[in-house]
Amino acid sequence: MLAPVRESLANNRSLNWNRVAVLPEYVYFRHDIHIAKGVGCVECHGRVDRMALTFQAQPLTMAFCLDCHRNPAPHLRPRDEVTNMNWNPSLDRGALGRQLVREYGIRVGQITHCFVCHR
Amino acid sequence: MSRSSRAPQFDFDRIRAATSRKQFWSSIDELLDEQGLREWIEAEFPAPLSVHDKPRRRQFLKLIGASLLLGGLTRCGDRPANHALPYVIQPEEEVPGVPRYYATAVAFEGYAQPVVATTYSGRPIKLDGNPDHPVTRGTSDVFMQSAVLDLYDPERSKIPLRNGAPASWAQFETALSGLRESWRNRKGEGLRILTGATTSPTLIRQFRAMQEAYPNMRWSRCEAIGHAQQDEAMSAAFGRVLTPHYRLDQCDVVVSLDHDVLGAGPRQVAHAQAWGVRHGEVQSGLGRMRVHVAESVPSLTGTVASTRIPVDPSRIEALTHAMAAEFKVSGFARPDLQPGEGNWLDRALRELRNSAGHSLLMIGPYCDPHLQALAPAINAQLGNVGKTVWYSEPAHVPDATQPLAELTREIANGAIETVVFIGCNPVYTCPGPLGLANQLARVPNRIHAGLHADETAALCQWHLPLSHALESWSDARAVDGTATIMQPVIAPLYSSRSAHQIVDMLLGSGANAANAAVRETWEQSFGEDFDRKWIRSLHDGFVDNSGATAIAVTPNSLVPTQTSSGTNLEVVFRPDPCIWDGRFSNVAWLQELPKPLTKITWDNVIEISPALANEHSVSNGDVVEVSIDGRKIRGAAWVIPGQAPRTVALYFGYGRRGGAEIAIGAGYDAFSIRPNEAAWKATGSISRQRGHRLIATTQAHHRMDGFDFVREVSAKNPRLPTQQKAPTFYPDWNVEKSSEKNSPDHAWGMVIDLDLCVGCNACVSACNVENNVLVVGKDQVSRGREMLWLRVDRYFTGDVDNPRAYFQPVPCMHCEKAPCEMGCPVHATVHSPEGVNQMVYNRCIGTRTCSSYCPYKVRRFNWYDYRHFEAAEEAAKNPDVTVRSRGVMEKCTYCTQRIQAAHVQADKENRSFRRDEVVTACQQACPTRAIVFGDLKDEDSAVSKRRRSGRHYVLLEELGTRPRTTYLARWNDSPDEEK
Repeated sequence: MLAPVRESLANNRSLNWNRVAVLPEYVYFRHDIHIAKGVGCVECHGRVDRMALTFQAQPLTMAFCLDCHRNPAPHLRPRDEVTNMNWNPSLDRGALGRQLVREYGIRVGQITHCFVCHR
Repeated sequence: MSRSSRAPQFDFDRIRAATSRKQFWSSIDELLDEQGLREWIEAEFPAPLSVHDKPRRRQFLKLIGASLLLGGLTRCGDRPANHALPYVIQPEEEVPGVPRYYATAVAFEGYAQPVVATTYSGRPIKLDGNPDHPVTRGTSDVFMQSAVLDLYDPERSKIPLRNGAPASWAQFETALSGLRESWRNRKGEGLRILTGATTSPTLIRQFRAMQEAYPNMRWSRCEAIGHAQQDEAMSAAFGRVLTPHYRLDQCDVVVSLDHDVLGAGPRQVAHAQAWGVRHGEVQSGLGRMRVHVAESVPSLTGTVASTRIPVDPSRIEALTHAMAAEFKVSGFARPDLQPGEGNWLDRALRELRNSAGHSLLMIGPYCDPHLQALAPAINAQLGNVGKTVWYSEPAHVPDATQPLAELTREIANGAIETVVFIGCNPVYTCPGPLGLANQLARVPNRIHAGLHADETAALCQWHLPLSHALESWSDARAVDGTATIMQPVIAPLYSSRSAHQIVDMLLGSGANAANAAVRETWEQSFGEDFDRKWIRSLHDGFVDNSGATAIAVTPNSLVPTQTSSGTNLEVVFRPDPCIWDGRFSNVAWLQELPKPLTKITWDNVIEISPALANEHSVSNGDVVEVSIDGRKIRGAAWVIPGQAPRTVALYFGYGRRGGAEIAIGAGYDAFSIRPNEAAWKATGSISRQRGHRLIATTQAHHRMDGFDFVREVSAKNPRLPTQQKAPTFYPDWNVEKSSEKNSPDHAWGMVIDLDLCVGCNACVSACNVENNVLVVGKDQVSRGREMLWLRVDRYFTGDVDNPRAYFQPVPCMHCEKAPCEMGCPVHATVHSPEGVNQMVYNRCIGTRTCSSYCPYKVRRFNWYDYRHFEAAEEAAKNPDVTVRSRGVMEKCTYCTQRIQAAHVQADKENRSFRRDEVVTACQQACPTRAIVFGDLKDEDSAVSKRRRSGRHYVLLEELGTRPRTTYLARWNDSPDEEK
């Protein structure tokens, strides 16, 4: 299964990954800020660990993005759990989310205008 | 009305009547035909149905398609949009999508222009001045900004050519080994090497080594513009070539005799910067700086001067002699001066003397050397030396002779066996009477190395592609002498070599590593601590403490010469402010940049005074013929308000015959009638010819309707009157209240100080590069469709023979009550909580209503798909900004990508913005700091401070749009205002 990876290194040729999560060209998405604010991989990419063949788990439409930008609390988790596919909050997720919005300084209300993602 | 129709007949009486009626006017055409201009303005988008001509960039590529295939540069059919290709081994610290910055330099006339290059995944996409460097301090000029496009120019030469046919470096090496043998045997006799001017320690060292290997070879530096006359003047004054350095930041009074010290050139950034420091807000204890200019051709310096008189070059001579006489320079007598000249001179003298030690007399580098040589003596008498001017050993290698004149003489004598041209194009820049092009065939071996297969390459057996400065290791000194080790920021795009590698090949020292020659130079100079110093210098972008040191010198006494009489027509030559001597001909951004004073794009014109236009009944665009000693050129005439009455100005850089596909056929070749290499003026004649040429000038485009666009204050009235609030039925607009529910932390705003703007266009260039502004070509510009997001308007006031001129940069105003937002039927332009007027391209359906609602005319419409660029040009695009396609509106976004990047950075670090953290591209480039951007909610931000100035005003305030971009009025220092 990992043969293409080994071949890539041996031949010094880039692995030709097929993009599954495709955003339109006029959308400027940055992973770094989402990770820094505690948005888990799962939120957009789904349970990649359970996918036999990777597929796009979420619609990735503007409405999908805006739902979270308008009300991020339900989608947040502690930073060290961002990559955890199996994270199961022991606390009430709503309360934790509201606490994380404060803690991580998320500017709710200011991250929905056009230039945040389009320029 | 179509602007391509013939301009109205020149009529002095109508002009005079109009100037007395109007306070501000923008052009002669406007004065002659107010009705026509009004129709043009009201049309909003004139001639919307006319057909589209693509720029001709592609033709050439079709022709060399075969060689492109050989070069392996074919473009894939489809963009791999659905594939991700990661690095196999990711370079250290490289994160895709995150820019990295490298300090290096690009060279201009041999001088290093120190830059910091922004690179994405190994692609440089933007250059800005190196903020730590003593010369640029982070600012830049149009040439530095546009150098990226020079690198990605799809018509750069890509492989060696032998007699015009593709060849390889190996074949060249074989050919060269035979030549080297004969050079060695003949001790270099008959070997002639020509390069451009250079300050490179490595190149100088290499040529010294070459001189040892081939003692009789000759190396000369030919520069079509350069400063050969200044070198000659310094030799006359001091007995050897020295470089004068001006400290404009220390000057209370500057008197300039035809010296455009703020104009384009290698020293522009340094000078404009220092001028801006002294000229800025009145500093405690210091009065206003005064600049008095006498000049033949209107210049940037003349535009911002306190007093300015237009005088013909022969009268500059008279003024200089009078100045020398007043300072008792032996042998000089005061010639008869006209009353205007006498008054100007007496004031200049008085102020020079009153501010002795803090004043500066400058005599232009295009004036005769014997005139320029007087400046050191006078400045010494005034006690200015060491304070406002100092001298150092030159950083460049001066040439004792006129190299091309000497070369043609030697060719005629049959003394030249091999000629090698490296990075210069003398067949084009050679003065016509020398006839180098005809002579060159008599040289048996001709080799040319350059970025383009240009006119010189066409006459050489070998053409070698030269690497761009951003692709190669090199070194050079900045104008202050500080050395920069230039590191490549991208691997060579084509099969090219650097000048150092080519010189190594000529020497036969074998194929060395790309940086071997440069390392060797600095190993000698750094000594033991090499590694640390080398890395430090590369990191910083300059070698610590390598600047020139001041030397104490006393000027010699001078032998006076006769003043010439000025009865004939005087023709002066000037470099083009955008493409210089033609070296930037193929940089489309520079071609489309409106020239600062005429706002002409894609062309050069023959500039004449209103008096001369009247005499010959010539209007803008009429074909005229200029003749010097029987040689003639024809071009379009252009009437320049404020030009000296008997002066005709010709501009270099156009009339190209090769090597610059997009420029071929544009303008006239002023080199063809230049009398000799050092000639900056000549006597000649002018005659009206049949015909009229279409000149694409933007001076009437995007005109606002209203009044008081530019405002002035003076010592008598240092504050603008506070605006009376107009009565209204509407409730008061309160920015805090209006956006209460979002309570943004920031309110972005910009203040542009008209008193600091010198009209140099650096901001416009920087905006083009940062925001992927597309080039539309001459035809589209002439229809008013240029896409520049930031325009610099130019206004005149007063008499057409010597008007006062003003520059006003106009970006989007980001109105709080934006009319454009009312107009859009699809909400494609909406407001952000932080006060930025946003343009959403993917919503725009192209109704253009927003633009017709915009009172400031800052919106641009993509009439066609202007994106037809080649693969190489695509690499120059800023990946953080959408490249707009056909049918959408666009405009200044306050560099929103920079605001967002700063937000992300601050948010990641969980902190608030630092003061003045966000810098827009135009602000960053501006050498005088005329543009300031920042947060209006921060009381102590630079922009808030400027807003509290008594000079602060709002453009078209009466419309109640509440712009976020506002202005500071210009100071009027002219003595008439003080009475």
